[in-house]
Formats: sequence, structure tokens, C-alpha cells
Amino acid sequence: MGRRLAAALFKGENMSAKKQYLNECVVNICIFIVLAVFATQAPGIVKGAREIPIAYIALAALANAILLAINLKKYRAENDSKNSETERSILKYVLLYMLIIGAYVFIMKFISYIVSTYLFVVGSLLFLKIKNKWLLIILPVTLTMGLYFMFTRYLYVFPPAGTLITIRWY
Amino acid sequence: MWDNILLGFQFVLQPTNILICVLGLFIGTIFGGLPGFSATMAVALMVPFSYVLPPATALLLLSGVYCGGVYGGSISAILVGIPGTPASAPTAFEGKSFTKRGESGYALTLCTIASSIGGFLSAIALLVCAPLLARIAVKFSAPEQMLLAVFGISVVCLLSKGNMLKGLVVALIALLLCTMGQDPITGYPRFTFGSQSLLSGISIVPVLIGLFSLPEVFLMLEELIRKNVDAMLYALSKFEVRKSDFSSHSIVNYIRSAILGIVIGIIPAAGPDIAAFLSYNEAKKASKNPELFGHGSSEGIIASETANNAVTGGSLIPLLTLSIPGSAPAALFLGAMLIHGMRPGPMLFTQNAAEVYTLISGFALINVLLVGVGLICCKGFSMMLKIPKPVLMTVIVVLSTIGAFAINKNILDIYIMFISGIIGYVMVKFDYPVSPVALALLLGPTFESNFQLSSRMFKGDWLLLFQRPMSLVLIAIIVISIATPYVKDAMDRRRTAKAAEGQNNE
Repeated sequence: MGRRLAAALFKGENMSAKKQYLNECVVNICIFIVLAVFATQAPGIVKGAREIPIAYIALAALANAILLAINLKKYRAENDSKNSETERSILKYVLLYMLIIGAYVFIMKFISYIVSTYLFVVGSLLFLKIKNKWLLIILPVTLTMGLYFMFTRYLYVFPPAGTLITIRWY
Repeated sequence: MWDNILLGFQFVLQPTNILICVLGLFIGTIFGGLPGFSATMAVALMVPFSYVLPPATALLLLSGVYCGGVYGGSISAILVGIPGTPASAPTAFEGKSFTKRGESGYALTLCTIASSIGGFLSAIALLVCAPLLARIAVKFSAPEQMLLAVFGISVVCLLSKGNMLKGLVVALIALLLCTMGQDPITGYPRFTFGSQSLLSGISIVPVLIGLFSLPEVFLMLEELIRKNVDAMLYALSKFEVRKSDFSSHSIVNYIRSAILGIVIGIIPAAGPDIAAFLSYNEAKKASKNPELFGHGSSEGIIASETANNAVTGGSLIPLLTLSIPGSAPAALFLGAMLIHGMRPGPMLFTQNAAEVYTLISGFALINVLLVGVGLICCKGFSMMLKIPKPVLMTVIVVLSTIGAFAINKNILDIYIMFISGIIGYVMVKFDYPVSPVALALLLGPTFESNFQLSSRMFKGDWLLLFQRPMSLVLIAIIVISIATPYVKDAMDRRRTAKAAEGQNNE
């Protein structure tokens, strides 16, 4: 699936191969950092409960090291070429949208599900260039309140009511 | 027995009961179709409603919801590439390609028929071989469960074919993440980083929601920027089936997948998700066109859908005969049966024959009705294709967020979903396969707990594993499963080399 999606993703304006391999190496280094974080915790775990995680860490580190070596070899073999401008601007958009989702997810605890979801839906539609005024008014209200009532009334799931702004109807 | 079956059918075919079956199917399908909602959640929600119904009718309602819930997950998997339930993940690999090619109607029809066949065959198994299969299931203790998990994890090799190292790295990291929280046997905390919330470990469903839904949203955004919005709209094509879907090769695929689903269903703790992945893997191995897998293969949809729906009947076999629920929804069935004064076990078939045979006959009928109800629901869900992408993206994010929260009612799950989404996007960008992560997350806890139990059972002497007939069978299956693709590749290479040599000689 990854290959298929990636192929679709890079259709048209391909990232330069050298840059791609460099980024792959960065991913490998990030994986090493994650594994190192887990490895530093391992000695604190009692014997009998740590053997399997340590085995996973060791095997993952080994496979990742081989992958890093392959990527470095490919990186050295490739010639440099410029990265596409379109690719960079697309990435900027995606990162910005990630930030919007991140803000929505992390402020929900403080300003309640209702306020954060309403703000997110409006913000997301505006960011994605929806100009229909009716849609901008109706969708945020119906989606937020519809889900809220369905979850609280029928599923007995009570979304965060907020610590700074508290809103609850149950 | 035949008298009881006839009585069961007489009761099921009453108009009210048919309506209850249809209602259950509708509710289940809608729940299954929405990311973050599961068949378990739908069954749990319906249990209180079943109190007011007569026992047999209540079981019919729950059966309809259960079957609909497992099936419904595949609708969104095909239409937008986001599996409604983890069991539909293999369907998503294939379904989205069909939708992009303008063949969504065909994929949905095929998936509905495969689900119906899988479910129907599991009802037959429930009727005919329940006692026999239950006896085999009892022999599955910790070592066999561990080997079954190893068998499942070995699928990673095939799912990452051509990208083995990356598949291995992500699968091992997913297995490592499964070890967060308390040790399954000793209870000691591991990798909690001082957080109380991580004591119970990482919840798998939010990770899967994040991995499968947010990357799709980001990819939709990229496509939106690259192309104009109108070009992004796909239409629902005509519902159709093709002759090739009922060829002898496909029939073997249906039967093999159904058997796998039923067997996995019988084994406690192995659910429809594992069955779907395993039978998808087996179908790929047996396929004449394995290169089509991941690019819109009808065989992949048949295998995954037949197997995950076959689990429904399979998981009720140990419940009815031994009082052991094979899955979470089956555990809810157990609760409902106890409330209605039925005590599952060997005596159930004599003491509550009317209710049990109604349930079994109802299961068969529900799976026949699934074709009609499923296609109606597909029509409704196909509206998703007409929704402008910006609206769909926004709705997916909100549904994924609330869906992740609803599992444990824990805000941490929302954060986990978001972080998994970003990691999933990075994985997609750098060509890391996502499916091994899902598989490792689902099987990791089963493997670890049973490995530790087996280790204590054998007191370190692992050679004892080879003295257990069931273990030997499983070891042989694992070896065959891992070796087959390589042997097949080697044989293909030799055949191609021979053909080339022959041409040169000519």
C-alpha cells in the first residue's frame, strides 16, 4: 500500500533521488533515536519482563542499520538535482494542515469538544477554500452537535467538556 | 436435529423476525462503515435494547448487528480507502484502486457477495461441525496460540515483499510499542515514561485509525493542490459481478478463506482482523496474478471479506458449545444469553434447543439478507463519493478524533491517533509498508503473553514444543507459509531461464 500511495504522491513532480535518499537516512536516524529512547528505559525493567522488548529493540536496530547503510550507498551514487518548487509548496500546505489538526486535538481538553470541533470545522473549510456560505454555517453546527448528541445520548460516550471553557449538555 | 432446524427456520421466517434481522443488519452496517466505530460497539449498544425482546428474537437482533458491523467496515474501505474496522484493512488496499478506476460498484458488489458467502458458510459450520471444532479448539493452549501468532506475524514477509527490510523495521517497532504498559504475566510496568495513562499500554484501535485515516486526508490535500477539485470526484459505478468471480479458482478462494475465517473465529482472541490478513496472504500466494495485489485485485477482496465474515459464525462455536467467547462481540452475546436465562455449554443444545437453532438458522438467513441490505447501504454510503473533498476531509478528521476517543473515553487516545497519523504519512512518503504495523499491533500482545506462558510451562525446555501434535502441525504450516513465496519465485526464475535458454538454442 505504501508503495502505491507513494507512487501516486510523487507522480509528476518527483523529489530528486539524492534528496530522497538523504531524507530516508534522516528517517533511519530518527528510528535509531526512538529505539535509543526505549533502550535507555530497558535496564530499569525487571528481569523476566524485559527480554522480549530488548530482543525487539536489537532486531529493529539491526534491520535499521542495514537499511541506513543501503540508503547511504545509494545517496553517494546519485547525482544532485534541484527539488521541485511545487513539491515544497505542497509540503508547506500539508504541514500547515497538520498544525491545524494538531491544534484541534490538543486544545480539545481545555476548550471542550464542542468549541474546538466547531472552530476546527470552520477553520478547516476555510483553509481548504470552501466559499459556500451556507456550507460554512450549516456543516460546523450540524456535524459538531449531531455527533455530540449521538455520542452522549445513545453511546454514553461523553466527549471532553473543557477545563478552561466548560460546555456540557448531559 | 433436523426437527429443531426446521423449527428454527419456522421461527426466523416470521415477518417480525425478518424485520428484526434486517434492522440489525442496517444498524451494524452503518456502525461498521464509520471509521472508529466497530462491530463490538454496535453489539454493545444493542444489548440493552435486546432485554425487552423474547430471547430468540434478541439473539437475532444481535446477530444482525454483529454480521452487519463486520461487513460495514469494507464499504468505507472501498469508497474512500479508510477501513471502517481493522478487519477491512486488506480490503482497503484493493478497494481504493477499484474506486479510482471507476469500478467502485463492482468492488462493493464483490465484497458484499464474498461477505455473504463467508457468513453463510460459517453458519453452516456452526450448525454442522460446532461440537467437533470446539473439541479441537480446546487443544489450543499457550504454545499453540503463540505459534498461531508467529504464523500471523510471518505474513509480514509477504506483505512487505520487495521492501522486506522496511517492513521488518516497522513491524518490529510496532511489536515494541505493544510491550508498553504492564507486562502481561508479571504485571511490571514497562516503557511508561512515568505516565499513569501508559500503564495500560497503547490502545491499538486509535493507532490504526490514525495510521489509516489521517495519511489519506493529507494525500487528498496534496491531490487537491495538484489537480482541480472536480477531477477528484469519483462516481459510483454500476453494481455488477463478473464471470471470473465464480470460476473454479475463485470458488477455491471462497472456500479456503471461509475455512480460515471459521477456524480463526473458533480460536479465542483471534478476531476477524487476523483472519482477513491471513487469508489475504494465502490468496496472494495461491494467485496466478499476485502482482495485482495492492493494485485492485478481486481475489484480494474475496479472500479478505469471506474470511472476516466467516469469523462471525466461527466465534460463536466455542461460545455455544463450551461457553468460551471467541471474540469481543461473542462475549457480549454471552452476557445477553445469560440475561435471557440461557447458559451456554454442552447442555444448551437440549435445554434451549428452540433458541439455539433459531440463532443458527437466523445466522444463515441474515447472511443471505446481507446481499440486499448491504447493497442498499452501499448506495447510501456512496454519497461519500459525491461529497466535495474538503468537506470529506474535515468530516474524516472529526470522526477519527471522536472515534479514537470513544474506544476508552481517554483523551490520550486522541493524541495517539494524531501522532500515528503523522507517522503514517511519513511512512507513506518514504515507502514504508503500513500493513505490517497493523498486523504486528494486533498479534504482538497475543504472541508475548503466550510466549511467556509457554516458557513457564516448558520451564525453558523448548524442545517440548515438538512433542505436541497440534504444535507440530502449526510449525509445519509456518515453515510452508514462509518458504512458499521464495520457492515459487525460485521455480519461476528457473522456468524463465529455461525458456530463455530454449529460445537462444532455437
